[in-house]
Order: sequence, then structure tokens, then C-alpha cells
Amino acid sequence: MKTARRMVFWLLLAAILLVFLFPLLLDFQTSLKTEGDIASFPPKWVFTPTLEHYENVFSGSGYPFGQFFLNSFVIASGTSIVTVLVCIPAAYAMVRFGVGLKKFFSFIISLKLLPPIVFAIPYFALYQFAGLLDTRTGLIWAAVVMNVPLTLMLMVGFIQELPVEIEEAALMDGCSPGGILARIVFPLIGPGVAAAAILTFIFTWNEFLFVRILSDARAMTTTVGSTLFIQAYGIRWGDIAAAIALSVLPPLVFTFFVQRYLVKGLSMGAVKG
Amino acid sequence: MLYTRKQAYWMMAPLAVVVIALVAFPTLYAYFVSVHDARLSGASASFIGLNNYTATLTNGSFYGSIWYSAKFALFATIAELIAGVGLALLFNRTFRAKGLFTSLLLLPLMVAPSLFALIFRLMLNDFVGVVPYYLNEWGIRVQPFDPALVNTTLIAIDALQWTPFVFVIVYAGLATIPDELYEAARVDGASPVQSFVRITLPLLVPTLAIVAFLRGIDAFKIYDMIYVLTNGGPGELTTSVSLFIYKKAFLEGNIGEAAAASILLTFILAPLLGLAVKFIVRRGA
Repeated sequence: MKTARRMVFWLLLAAILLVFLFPLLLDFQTSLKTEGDIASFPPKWVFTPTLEHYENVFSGSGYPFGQFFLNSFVIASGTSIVTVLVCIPAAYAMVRFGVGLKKFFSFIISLKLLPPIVFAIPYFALYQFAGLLDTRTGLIWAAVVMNVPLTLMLMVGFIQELPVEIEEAALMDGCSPGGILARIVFPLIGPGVAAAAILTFIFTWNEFLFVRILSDARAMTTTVGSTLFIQAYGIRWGDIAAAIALSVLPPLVFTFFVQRYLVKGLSMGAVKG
Repeated sequence: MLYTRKQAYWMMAPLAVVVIALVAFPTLYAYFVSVHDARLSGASASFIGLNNYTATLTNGSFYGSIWYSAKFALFATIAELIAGVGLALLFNRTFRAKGLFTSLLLLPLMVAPSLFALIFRLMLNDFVGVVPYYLNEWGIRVQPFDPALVNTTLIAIDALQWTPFVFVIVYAGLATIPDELYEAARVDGASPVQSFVRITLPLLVPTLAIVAFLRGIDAFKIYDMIYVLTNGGPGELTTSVSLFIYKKAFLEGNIGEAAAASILLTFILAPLLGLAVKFIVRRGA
């Protein structure tokens, strides 16, 4: 009776995991098949894997996927750095002085709740005017807006947990206010800062709407770049699958580092845009 | 006091500058654009007063798209709540390698929704997709993007991506319910179903409210997945409000009207967002 129940439990668990991970597994599997194997009916589950699609994505696809990849990295890293740098001192001022903790903080949170398209339209108009369309700089600034709310919330939360006594002691010892922030607060909230930066990186890497609207070719990232393959010369599923597999890899790897902060980050940020 | 107030304002300065540059200025610019006949081509636009606003307010598709977003958010949230609570209950026991399984279950959350959708274009494709093939084998002939089914398909895909989110939060909520309550109930002869209905569910209400709320807001914004899978079609059947504004701007090339629609949308959402912000700030701080 007990073993039977346990069997049912494990079967159920296996079935659930299969359902939720099937899309990713199938994509990975497809990326390793030849076009012939992909098109074969019934679907082939045993086949000789090939890396031709991965080569193709970078060299023979007609799209500069390597460039898209680099863009994704530059834009996601740039956004993380800018976001964290503006949020740490602000969060500190909010927590220790209550400056802007009520109205300004609420206003920033409300930015996260609006549909991103509401921002994208003025950005498009403004960027068109300012010559920022299809530039990495333009995309970084647009992504900063979307990520400041979550990062600020996380930072405020972390700093609230710090005992003020340590800082007072440092001040007594003659540490400057800037020094306190740099040498005491920053190291103490370091892991939290890293988590916020990584979450920002992941969300920016996955961003679609802004990149779709504000980039055209030069600054395009992998998320939008992957969808290009679908309208191209017929549909080459193997290449698309490989492009997707490459594009989801960095966020999946990074997730590993922010496991502990994932729930807090996700729930506080009402997830992503 | 550690510092002077002046120093605090300096610390706030970078963020304030960023917000003014990235929010206030574009917002003002949006108002400017919304009263002009601004076009995608970027040609000099003439002032047309409130025409863009009246055009949007008299456009049935605008209301239709808001209604669609709201419906999508409602049904997706309900589906994800039910599935997520079920999963959380299943995981609310000790078993081998639980941490690993929990992590695996969270992976869909970290995949870009646009790419998740793209994978489904492959899976549901008539010619190479495994799903239509096996359904056909079992004698089920369905077209996942037919008008009759397209919403079910979209909600199912959204649920596959976001149920894990509901799951982790509800799971964390379950962990806070003290075991003694269940023991006492068992002693009093309560069945598992009774303890679920009488103990678990009432204590889980605050958690469920938070999750429903976060998922609802997020699902209302839907753009990526629909853009990739149906592009709002067939017809306007799956046009969310984000997609409506996008199409206005980039298919019709009417940036002015799209800006007006964006501004109107923020007004329509403002009361709801005000409540939401209060709720989040109270919970977070």
C-alpha cells in the first residue's frame, strides 16, 4: 500500500516535470537533428546528433547572430551596471533618511506595473528625434527604466536589514560618508547586489518588446534575432532551435546563482515586462 | 544622525536624474506627440489638437483590446492558481532530491516569453510539430490556432511558463503553516480534504491574493508571446491592448494616435495601479 502510493507519487512527479520541461528539451533535441530528421514522420526519438545548426546560426544563416549575441551581452551588462549604480545610493538615502521613501518610491514602483508598450511609444518618438534608434545605448537606457523598480525595492529591503550601529562606529572612526557606503554598506549587501544585478541581466537579456521596437539590425539582440529566422527563406527549424537554445542558455546558467533570491526578486518585481 | 540631509539628497541625485531623463521627459514628449499628426516616417507633424484622443476613444478595437487583455489575465491567472496550488501541495512533503526537482520546475520562468512562444511554433507546427502528430495518431483532430481554440492554446502556453511562479510562492506560503494545526485536526478525526478546506485554504488566502494580483497585472501586459504566436489574429481575436498600441504605431504608422492610446491606457489603469502600489509598498516595507 505504502510502496504503491510512493510509486504513484514519483510517476506523477516525473509526468509533471516532463510537461513543464518538454518545450526546452524538445527545442534542444531539435537543434541537434538534421533537417531530414526534423521533418520525418513519425517523429524520430533516436537519431545521430549533429552540430551543423549551431555552426549555421553563426556563419551561414544570413543573420549576424554573433553580433546579436554580443549585443545581448553588452546591453544586459550595461543595464545591470547602470541600474545598480543609481539604485544603491538612492536606496540608502531612502532607508536612512526617509528621503523620498513615500512618494518617490511609490512612483517608481508604479513604473513596473504599467505595460511596457506605454513607455515604448514615447521612446520610439524621442529616439527617432535624438538619433538613438538602433543603438545599444538607447536600448540600455530603455531597459534601465524597466529594471530600476525591482532593483530599488531589493536594495531598500537589504539596507533595511543592516544594523545602523556598524555605520555609526565607522563614522566615529573618521570614515567619510562616501567611504561608509563604499567600504561598509556595499560589502555587506554584496550578495544581494549581485543577485539584483543578475536578475536585471536576465530580464534584460530576455527583453523583447523594446528591442523589437527600438532596434532594427545593428543593436538587435538574440531574443528578437531568433524570431527573424522564422520569416526567412522557408522555415529552417533546426537553425531556429539552435538559435533558441543558445539564447536561453545564459539566463538558465545565471539562474543557478540567484536561486536564493529568485522568489523575492520575481514576486517583488511583478516579474518582467 | 549619520549624515546631513544635504548628503542624502546627493545620494538620491543619480536616480532622480535617471528618472527625470527616462520617465518625465519621455512622458512629456508623449503628450506632445499625442496632439500631433505624428507618423512613423518621422516627417514633420502638424498640430491636430485632441483628434488622436477622440479617434482612440471612438475606436471599438481599443476597448476590445483592453477587454481581451483583462479576460486573458483573468483566465490565465485562474488556470495558473489552480495548477500552482496543486503542485505546491504535491511538493509539500519530504522526498528525495526535492531541491533539485524544485529548481528544475523553475526553469521555464527564466526563458524569455518570446522564445518560449517560438518553441511552441515549432511544437505545434502542422508539418514538423510533435503535438499535432501525436494528437492525430490518437484520432484527435484539432487546429490549435483556430478561432475556437486559439485562446485555450495561448492560456495553456502561458500557464506552462508561469505556473512554476505560482507554485514557488504558494509553496513558501504552505511552509509557514504550523504542523500542529494539522496534527490537532487529525486527532479530532478530520479527513485530509477537511483539513485542506478548513485549515490550509483559509491560511493561504493572503498568499493567494498576492500571487493572483502579481500574475494578473503581468498577464494583462501580455505582448511577446502573442506577437510571436498569433500576431493578434485570427482577425483581432487575440489582440491584447499592448499589441493594439503596437499595431497602431508600427503597422498603421500612426505614432500620434498610439501615444494618445498609451496615455489613455495609463489613465484607465491609474486607479487600479494606485491601489496596487499601496499594497506593494505596505508589504515590502
